[in-house]
Amino acid sequence: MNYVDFKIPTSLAEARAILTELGDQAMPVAGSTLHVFLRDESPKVGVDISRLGLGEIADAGDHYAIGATTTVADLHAFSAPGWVLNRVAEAFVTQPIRNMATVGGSVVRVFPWSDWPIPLLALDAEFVITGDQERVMSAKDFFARQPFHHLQPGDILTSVRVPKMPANAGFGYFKERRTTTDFSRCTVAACVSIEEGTLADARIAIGAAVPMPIRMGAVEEALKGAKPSAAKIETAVLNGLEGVRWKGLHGISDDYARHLTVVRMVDALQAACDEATAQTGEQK
Amino acid sequence: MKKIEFTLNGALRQFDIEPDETLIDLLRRIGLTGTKRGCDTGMCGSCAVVMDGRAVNACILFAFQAAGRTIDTIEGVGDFDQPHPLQVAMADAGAVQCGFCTPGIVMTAKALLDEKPDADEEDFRQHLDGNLCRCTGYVKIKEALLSCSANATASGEAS
Ligand SMILES: Cc1cc2nc3c(=O)[nH]c(=O)nc-3n(C[C@H](O)[C@H](O)[C@H](O)COP(=O)(O)OP(=O)(O)OC[C@H]3O[C@@H](n4cnc5c(N)ncnc54)[C@H](O)[C@@H]3O)c2cc1C
Ligand code: FES
Ligand code: FES
Repeated sequence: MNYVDFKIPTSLAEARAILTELGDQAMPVAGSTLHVFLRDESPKVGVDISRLGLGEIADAGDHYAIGATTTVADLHAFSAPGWVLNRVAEAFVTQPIRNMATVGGSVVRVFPWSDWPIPLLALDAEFVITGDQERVMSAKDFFARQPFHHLQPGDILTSVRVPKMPANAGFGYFKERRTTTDFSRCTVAACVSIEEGTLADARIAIGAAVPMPIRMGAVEEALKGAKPSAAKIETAVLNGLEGVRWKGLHGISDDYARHLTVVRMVDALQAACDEATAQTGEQK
Repeated sequence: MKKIEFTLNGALRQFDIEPDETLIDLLRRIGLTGTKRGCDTGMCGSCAVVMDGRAVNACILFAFQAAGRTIDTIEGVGDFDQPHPLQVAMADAGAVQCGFCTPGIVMTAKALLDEKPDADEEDFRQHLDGNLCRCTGYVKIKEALLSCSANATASGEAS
């Protein structure tokens, strides 16, 4: 990055005023861990947004409201009923990066290998953007294109709302990497809930093996109302791949990216079903 | 150049910095060369320093992000005459060969032990997952760090 100046606001209002005034010249800086990957060499003013009081996780009834500058280390350390993002945080890069990187910085600019959009899609998270007015976007809309395009000058992503997992639900998460700092070749997150032995809800999102993270709607539809058996999960996955554009990352072929993701989709759904079954004490 | 101030190794100090200067550039420019530049992309941990009690990579942090914060580097931890117990343990265990990774490892382990004095093997594994060593093979590093944990003798993990 080519920073020609920097600002260190200490309130949201001050930060928004600076960002509004500077427009395209401003670059919000949260943890700054993405900047080594940004090729933008145009002159920018770095605006440190890490001191705006947006670094807490709050229990907001049916969901957790995560301040946008909450670090991944804090997501990892947090423990509460219906909270599963510690499992995602655990597989996120290294401790120093977990200490620096924030949830907001992890979703505003999405690379094919980005970890966080996938679980946040599967969990039906919502994204709160503070501009002249506050607006809330669903994960599906937020990740339908590069999220920073949703932000006007002066807008800041202030919070991510993550619904609490109900007691009859389970979560499965797989990230394929070879070393701690390696990018994922395939990331899958699944979330299911079981009522009276059948799948009341099934959500699954994939990334890294596709250009942008996506929900697998056809797989979800095939599973809803079904009994959660290994055979049913496999059939739903194999029949639900139409229209997906596979893109192998870091030396793996598109075909292998597809193969890996299929295997991990089955694994993630199975893990989520096993967890939900164990939670509800029901027999498979 | 623009002025910032932060607490460096216990003393509040002022620095003139360039907006695009990284923290490692600043530290090494003022003579604190104990913080090592390895990959310069956040992958090896040799540049680890402690910011507000947590290990961070000084190579990807911009100097301006340190403004108003507390930064601890290896120079504030111990020296030849008065080494920190972690430094003694690393030397005694033979956990240092070329020594390039050592400052980053000591800083990262110190951040963990300051927060959790009875850290166990799993804690060390997790907290040091960003520290690469090209020489030792990690076993002696693990032994050295574990011997500094408050529960070392109790658990019998240290050699
Ligand atoms: C060695 C290494 C390995 C990595 N591996 C991975 C990996 O495997 N998976 C992965 O997902 N990431 C990885 N990353 C990338 C990076 O760590 C993450 O994307 C990170 O989570 C970014 O968070 P941050 O807080 O540092 O964001 P920053 O770098 O500060 O910001 C990222 C972008 O978002 C904008 N922004 C940040 N917060 C806000 C906000 N609240 N409102 C509006 N705009 C905002 C910034 O202007 C910038 O454009 C890696 C990084 C390194 C250095
Ligand atoms: S030099 Fe900073 S992590 Fe390698
Ligand atoms: S002792 Fe040489 S890199 Fe660790």
